[in-house]
Amino acid sequence: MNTLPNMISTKDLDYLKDMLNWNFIAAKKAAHYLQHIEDEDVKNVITQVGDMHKQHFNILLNILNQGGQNGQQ
Amino acid sequence: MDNNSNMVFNPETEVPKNQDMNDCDYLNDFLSTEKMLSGNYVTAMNEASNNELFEEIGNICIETENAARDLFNVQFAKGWYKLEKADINKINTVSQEYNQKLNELS
Repeated sequence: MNTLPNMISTKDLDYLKDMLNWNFIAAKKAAHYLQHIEDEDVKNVITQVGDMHKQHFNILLNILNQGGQNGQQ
Repeated sequence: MDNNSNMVFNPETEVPKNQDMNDCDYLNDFLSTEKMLSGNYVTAMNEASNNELFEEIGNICIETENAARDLFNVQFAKGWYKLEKADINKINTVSQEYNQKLNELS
């Protein structure tokens, strides 16, 4: 096996789980803060950031769902 | 923008000052979160073996850095972050020092 197979290692899986958790909490935190924020500019930037975390959660989840085809070439 | 003395800042947007979190606190907290995340993504990227994962973490990291920048820009615009200009003499001293060091590299 000369080239890296398309697989998810145990370490990759641990980091995927961590990164999913970071984005899950960050997205929820944005939604929570938005219920209290009054300033329009602050509201806009936190909305943007919250959407970004949701999107990053989805990207990471897709990689996880594909499962790296578990080493299939 | 106020250029009084060496301080550079915008007029401060008023927020309630009590034990509850205010807009300034929410912004500050999210900036800390983004800064922490972008640092952690660099570690995750260094440790990744899967190629798609490596590439995607890179993209996610840059977007997170940009988000931190957007939060910082709002913080500055609202007058919640003040900058101090460095002394011109000190800048010149450091500049001279490193221009001399440059000779060592040639």
